[in-house]
Amino acid sequence: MWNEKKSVTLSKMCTAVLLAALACFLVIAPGTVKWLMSFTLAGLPDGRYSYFLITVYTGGFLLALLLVFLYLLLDNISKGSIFCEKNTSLLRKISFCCFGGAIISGISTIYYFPWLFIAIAAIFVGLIVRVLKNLLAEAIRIKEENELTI
Amino acid sequence: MPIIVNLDVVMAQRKISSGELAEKVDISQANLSILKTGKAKAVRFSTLEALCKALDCQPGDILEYKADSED
Repeated sequence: MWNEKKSVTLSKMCTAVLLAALACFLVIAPGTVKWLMSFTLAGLPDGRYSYFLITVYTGGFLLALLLVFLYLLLDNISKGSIFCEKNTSLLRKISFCCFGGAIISGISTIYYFPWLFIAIAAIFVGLIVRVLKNLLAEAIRIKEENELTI
Repeated sequence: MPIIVNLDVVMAQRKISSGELAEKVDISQANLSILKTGKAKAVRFSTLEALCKALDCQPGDILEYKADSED
């Protein structure tokens, strides 16, 4: 029977799998980026290979950090520790990773315009996570007030 | 906090222990301790009523208002 505990476990597994996939991708990134560039940038001036690699590795590092924070958040939830300062801190860090990714993508539009779409998406996700963090912080405040109402 | 809880004073006057009072009022000793030490954020009327009944006193005997020095 499906339940919330299994749902959290599934989320943790997906996060771990994604983190492992990201690590593998970053290892083979030089070859993959070259291959991608061969058909996406056909006919365009060369010399952007190193820029792509910089974007992929810096963005990949932030993404790995985001996935680690997400895993820690899910771990706290699975242990029953939901309404706590640790979780608001993790959500804040996740939003900063999103905004960091947006900045990196935004700067990367200098050499490849479609990075702009990634930047915009990252800003929106970061904003949504920030709102969730505010929501959780308020929920913690209300819970504390309820617990201290005798 | 401007609201001061003088529960320990009234308990001493009535010579009643925390355990006894907690049982009479039907709250845990932990919650009674939170109330006594002024850490509570709010008190329900039902709890206040039970306290006054158990201690045979008025709400004003248990709760006192003292303005903050900044006011």
